[in-house]
Amino acid sequence: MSSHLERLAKRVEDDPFFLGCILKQYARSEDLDDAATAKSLGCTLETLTMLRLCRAPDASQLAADVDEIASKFEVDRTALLLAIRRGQVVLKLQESKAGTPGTLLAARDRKPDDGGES
Amino acid sequence: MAAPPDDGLELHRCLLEGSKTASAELAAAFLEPLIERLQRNNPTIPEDLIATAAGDALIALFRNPSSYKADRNKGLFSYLIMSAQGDLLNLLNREKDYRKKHPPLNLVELPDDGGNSFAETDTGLSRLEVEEELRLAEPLLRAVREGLDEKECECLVLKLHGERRTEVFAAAMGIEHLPPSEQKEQVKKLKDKLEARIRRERSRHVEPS
Repeated sequence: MSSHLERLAKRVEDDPFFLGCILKQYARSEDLDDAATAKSLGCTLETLTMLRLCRAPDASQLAADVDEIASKFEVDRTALLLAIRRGQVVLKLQESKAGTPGTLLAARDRKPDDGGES
Repeated sequence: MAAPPDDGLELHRCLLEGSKTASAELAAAFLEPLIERLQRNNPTIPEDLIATAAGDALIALFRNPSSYKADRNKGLFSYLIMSAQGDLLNLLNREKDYRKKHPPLNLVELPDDGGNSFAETDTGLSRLEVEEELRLAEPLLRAVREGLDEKECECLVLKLHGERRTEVFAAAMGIEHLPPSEQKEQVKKLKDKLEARIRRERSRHVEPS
């Protein structure tokens, strides 16, 4: 497989349009490098490159999209589905964090003089 | 992976229908041939810029597959070449703007040789070369807009990069099957047409230095 294709696959890892972005979040959450990610999906590194270049599945038809991808590239369907779900959750969490600054401040202590119990 | 025999039309149809795997298959089929063709058309441009432009063209197609109209008389590969050539021009423009705003230190400080050198960019491309590429690419894109067909566009790129061999033009024109004398005649005719177009474009758009 060409290094150009690998570089393109790495490049789309930050673009949620591509499956590579979801797989990146999955790998990070599991602390997996490329080899370990490929192993967890039951595929080769070359196939991992191809997976990254696939379009991200639609939430509304996740199972069908995963079927299409898994059968095309002969990867473990269940492992791919779990990885995608995990990656999507991490991605959503990141998006919600980025979209609502200050959320974490909600639990801070009240000031002593605002009428609350100390 | 070699380009598909149907020029990727089936994969493009899948892309239009929302396939999740067609983008990966198209990238595997077209990225390398696209980079090779762009390198041939732009021999002085660094490979990393070429690869970025090729990737940009593919990603743009994946995001907006209907940008390519299969029913028009142009193959998907030719469409991608033109798209990538435009992306390359944009990259070079950005590079040029960046260099204008952030001149390399060795252009600002006094060089050891008394100021007679011309520094290279990070990519090894001199600013003169970048500007030359821009100057050459502009007429190409204008000509595309003005209605040259895909083979003429390809020959224009060859010509702008100094290609002179009849057999190379004949291959780009798809007339290798004709007798050599006829190839020569048709190539000359097209070269004359392109030269006239280049002269016209330069006189219209390129400021005298």
